[in-house]
Amino acid sequence: MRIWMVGVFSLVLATAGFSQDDWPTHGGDAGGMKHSTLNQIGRDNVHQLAPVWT
Amino acid sequence: MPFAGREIKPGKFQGTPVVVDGTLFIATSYTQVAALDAETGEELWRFDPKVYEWGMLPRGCGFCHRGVAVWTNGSEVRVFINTRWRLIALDGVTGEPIGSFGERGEVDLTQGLIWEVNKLHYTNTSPPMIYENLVIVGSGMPDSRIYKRNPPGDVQAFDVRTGERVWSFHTIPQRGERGNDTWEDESWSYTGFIATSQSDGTAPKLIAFGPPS
Repeated sequence: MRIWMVGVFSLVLATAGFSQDDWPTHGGDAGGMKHSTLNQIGRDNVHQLAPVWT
Repeated sequence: MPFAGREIKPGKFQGTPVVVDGTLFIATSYTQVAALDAETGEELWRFDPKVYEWGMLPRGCGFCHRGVAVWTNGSEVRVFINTRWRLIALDGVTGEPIGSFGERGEVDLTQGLIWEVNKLHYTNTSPPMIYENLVIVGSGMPDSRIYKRNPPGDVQAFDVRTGERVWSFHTIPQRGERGNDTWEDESWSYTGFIATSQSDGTAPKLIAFGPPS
């Protein structure tokens, strides 16, 4: 139930004009949820991340 | 008075980047704004508001800043930085101030406060917030410097295109405003500084505060 509500909340607060790939605000979305919907990086491969530029 | 004689040096780096359409925007430790290619790291432009020319900022983390706000209508991109008493609108592509916003691309955040303040004590650390076509800012609070008519913490909203002040919310309720009676002996007219949280679930909270009607 809680997860479902967060989903609806995010949908309602989705920021106009931005795409899912964006991180358009300090907190990620208008609700400041700090949650990315990108899913290519997860628990199983996060250890493979390496710097690409500094 | 500014903190005379204090060495000018960068603040702590506290910026959270934002990314819009492959471009990363970040506030630096001098409250400059930089745009980087998110894939290559190449610097596309950098804007320096030169706020160090007024001396050090009177707070523990110096010129630290936590980021910028980005507004877009799908074609135009505007980047906002709030630094000292200045809210500045930059063209997202060129990094140049947008002349039609406020006066030469910026507005003076101290002009509509509930009382006149020492501009050099007025600070901003949290990024502005965008809600539809409004750019909304609060202000930094002194942790220990307490005197009459500190910067009070008003929350202000401006039109993202023109810089016109659309509303202001008084965290210290003024005459006729709800809660004013709890500030006894006219203390509402000269004391207090009340912050609003800007960086954590900002939009719903600020909308809940709402514009005073």
